[in-house]
Amino acid sequence: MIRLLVHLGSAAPLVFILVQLLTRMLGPDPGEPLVRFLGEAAVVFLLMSLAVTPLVKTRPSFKRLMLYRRAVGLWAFAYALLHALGFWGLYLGWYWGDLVSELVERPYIVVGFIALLILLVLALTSPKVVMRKLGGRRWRFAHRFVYVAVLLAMVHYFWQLRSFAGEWLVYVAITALLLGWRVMYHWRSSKGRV
Amino acid sequence: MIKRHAWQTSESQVTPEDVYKQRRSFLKLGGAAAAGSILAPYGYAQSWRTDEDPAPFEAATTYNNFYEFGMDKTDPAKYAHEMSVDPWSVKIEGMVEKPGSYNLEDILKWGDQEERIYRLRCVEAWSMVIPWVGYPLASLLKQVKPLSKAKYVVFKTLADRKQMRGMRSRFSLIDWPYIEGLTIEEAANPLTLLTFGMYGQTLPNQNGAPVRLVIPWKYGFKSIKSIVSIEFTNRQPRTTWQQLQPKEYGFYANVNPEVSHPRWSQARERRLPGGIFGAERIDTQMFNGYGEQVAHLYKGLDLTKNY
Repeated sequence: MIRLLVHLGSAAPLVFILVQLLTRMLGPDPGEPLVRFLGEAAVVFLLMSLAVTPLVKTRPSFKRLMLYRRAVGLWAFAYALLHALGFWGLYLGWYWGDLVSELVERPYIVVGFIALLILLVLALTSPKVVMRKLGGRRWRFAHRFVYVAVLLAMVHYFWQLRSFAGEWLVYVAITALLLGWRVMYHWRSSKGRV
Repeated sequence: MIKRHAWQTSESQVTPEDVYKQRRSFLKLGGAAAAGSILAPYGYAQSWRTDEDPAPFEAATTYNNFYEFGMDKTDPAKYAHEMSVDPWSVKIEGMVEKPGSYNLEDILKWGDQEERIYRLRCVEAWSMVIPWVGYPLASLLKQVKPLSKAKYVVFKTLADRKQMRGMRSRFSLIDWPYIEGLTIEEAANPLTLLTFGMYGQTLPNQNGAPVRLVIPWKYGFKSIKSIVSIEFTNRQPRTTWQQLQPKEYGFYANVNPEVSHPRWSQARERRLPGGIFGAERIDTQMFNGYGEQVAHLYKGLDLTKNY
């Protein structure tokens, strides 16, 4: 029941933007707001999935959140994939050639693409069957790359700005908080063991 | 012989009433120019018409870059009404025979107004076709008489924090006022239009009322809006976008499909408005298709370096 609500809530932003696209509420250049919205949604879902562990560790009463971490992470991948498809379709008109030249020539596109590939690998290795096959150790190693993905996403976000945006600073601050908490946590627990 | 396009006949349906009232006052101002050419739509002589379809009035007036009112494309349409454009005066300064502060009413009389349908190509790789109303900047030059040592013309936009809420934003890195510039030859080119109207009516505030430039062979940011100062000088000015990102925006900023912006290709453009599957992608033309009129201005200039 709660799982269903999590998925419905996660799909709501997608429905929201698609309705606006179809009713022509996005203005003369619908590609721009659509692609921007999907990219921002990917960042928000990625940060939400990264917030689960710190929340559960500091407030044990939140431990049920752990049950939905994978779902939130998969939605982050879904939004990132739609963001990339939207860019290819609505910006580049589904031209293969333009997509390839963008990937060769634009560092910020490359950075975003690498982040997407990481999320793809994490999504493919997220089912329990795959997890068991890989073994906990290797699976955990692979999934630590989510930290790389979120940092690349922040670089990609900053690089495409034409001028300064306050939202970006907010996302970077949250990223720093979530990753910083992990560094502190491991540092403390390793000291505790000595 | 004058064909009426579909957009011309349907245009009245999308024009709000207050804009119509504005238009009437505009027609009064431009009355002298209108009298001579009864046949042309709106009563203006016409030249330089592209036969591509103009963007709907609504698209051209709700999708704007005018950072003084905010950084979103929808901000200018929401907040530009907070700017008062009447009365308005423009300072003519620097190396010129007739410097001074001139009222808009006087400046309107310095040239014959005409309608021109130009392609507007934004550096962000989108474009729209827009019918402007104005007279060549060359007519103004004739009137104020720049000295022969003047090599550049510098333009400034109004900068008033009280009327322009984008300037009050803490996140803005721009050193106001917005500054743009042209060489004196570019300023005198017949395509460079000192613009007072669009779609046959006075400029809406978000489009740069009451007076702006339109330079169709350059990226849109060169077509400075809401001008309060025109200065003649012998030194190339540092324009606002050059100050912000010198590696991305140069002084010339000619439309050029072969020179990429460092972060995106300029080879193609999205012709707006677009539908639910995105905008039509078309090839960008050298000098935005106005090479015949302007290419000679850049003979011997390396356009890869002088982007």
